[in-house]
Amino acid sequence: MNTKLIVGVALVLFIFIAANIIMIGELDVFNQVVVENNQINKPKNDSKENVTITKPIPDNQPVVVKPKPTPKPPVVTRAS
Amino acid sequence: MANSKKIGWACIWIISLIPVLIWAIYAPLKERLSDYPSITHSLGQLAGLIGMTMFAVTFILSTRWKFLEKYFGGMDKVYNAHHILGAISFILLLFHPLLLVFKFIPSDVKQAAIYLLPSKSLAVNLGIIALTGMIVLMVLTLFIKLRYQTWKFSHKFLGAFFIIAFLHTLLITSDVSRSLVLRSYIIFVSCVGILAFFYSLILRSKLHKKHIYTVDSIFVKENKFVNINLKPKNEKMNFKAGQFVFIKFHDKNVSKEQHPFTIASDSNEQNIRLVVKSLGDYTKKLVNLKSGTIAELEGPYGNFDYHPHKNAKQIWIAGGIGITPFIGMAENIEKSNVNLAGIDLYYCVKNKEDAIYLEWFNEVALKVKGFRVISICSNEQGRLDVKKIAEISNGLKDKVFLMCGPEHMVAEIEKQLIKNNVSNKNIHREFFGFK
Repeated sequence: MNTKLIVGVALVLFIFIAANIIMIGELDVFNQVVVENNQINKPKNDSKENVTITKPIPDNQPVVVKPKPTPKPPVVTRAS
Repeated sequence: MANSKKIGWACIWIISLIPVLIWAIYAPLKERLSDYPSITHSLGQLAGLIGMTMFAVTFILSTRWKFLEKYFGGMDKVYNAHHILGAISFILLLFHPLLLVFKFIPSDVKQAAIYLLPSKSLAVNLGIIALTGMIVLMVLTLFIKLRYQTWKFSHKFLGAFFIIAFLHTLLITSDVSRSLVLRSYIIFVSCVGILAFFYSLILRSKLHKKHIYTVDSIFVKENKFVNINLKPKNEKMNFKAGQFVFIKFHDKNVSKEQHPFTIASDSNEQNIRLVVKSLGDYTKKLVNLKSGTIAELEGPYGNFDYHPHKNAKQIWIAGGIGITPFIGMAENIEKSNVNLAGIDLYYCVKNKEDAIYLEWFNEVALKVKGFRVISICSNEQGRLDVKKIAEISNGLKDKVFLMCGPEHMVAEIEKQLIKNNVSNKNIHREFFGFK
């Protein structure tokens, strides 16, 4: 028996199988990441009614925060 | 000799299969072989266990311990077993991770890929390092023609990768970590292997007896055959014709590594003669050796001997430089007047000029009764085969065959002899091509 030939065939077989597993497995991982990314970027609901378009605030414009209106004191009525 | 060879191999198989037995007892086989994932997982475990045990044994076989010769029929056979076992263990260890990940396929290829790649687990990473290192070293050993010293230096790293693989076995969660008996066995065999590796690396050169000789004379034949005569400095080394030694020459122009060479002289001679064919980088340098150079001889090794078969007709088959052990044997027969049933020497060469000892053998044949020399020149007569031998030597029955020569030639004739019902115990060969 030719040891060199047998070891050579085994080595090629090993590299072929291992490379395929890693390639397909890695592709699987890559695909999953792409799917997850797509899901993150995708709007949760496509219906036009619910889409809220927000106007971006330019960087150099100061953001004016309007004070919240203070609640009016309750009207106390004297019992007659 | 044939039986002793069987004992050596039987021991190797027993040592290698004990972990399988312990593994089989540890958990019910029904569970282990219940479905596809369990079967592939079990096969992966077995490949790892047998592979590691065989890997450890390869180190024991490279120690050159004298007692090993008895069980393999000579040190050349021990090295041949080391070579075969190394290849088997390497293939098993290659398929160990693959079989383990097959359980995830086809349902979860992602998991299989994660398993084969480096991860946060130290144990897994150690396994990956060990296997990658082994692959690199095996490719260097088998497929790349390196200089002898470079190859020998790279081969030493196999021990380091074995230690890493051993740590992987100890740290990973498996049957080895769960079963005390299995763990103890693997630790024992691996530690013996590691000790044997360090013995070969450090202690062998110090502990094995060296015979000091000096180069007496050198002459070159046909520009490619170097005849080196060595003279003992103190005491003469005892050897049998046909044995070989490991030699180190103390010459700065020649590498300091030991190389195996067959002794091509009679055991009764005071001096030792070596006949070397300039094939590689080392042997080409031997032409430049100067008389007086110190030669350190380790040995003798080998059991390639005609004496045990004196009562049977012997067929000697030599291919090219494989003639060397037969030179010593023929000289021994010529000088000691041994009564033999007859010897037919087939001296096979490619070109006529390569048969450098043909004239000398013809002279021996004139002096020794029953000694015949048949020269086969493959360029003119074609290759020697069993049919030719049977025709010239009057059949194959009850004859003992002693062969030394290129691996492919000897293997082919051996195959043909077995096919022609020649018993294995009547076929003796010398592996002279081991590294």
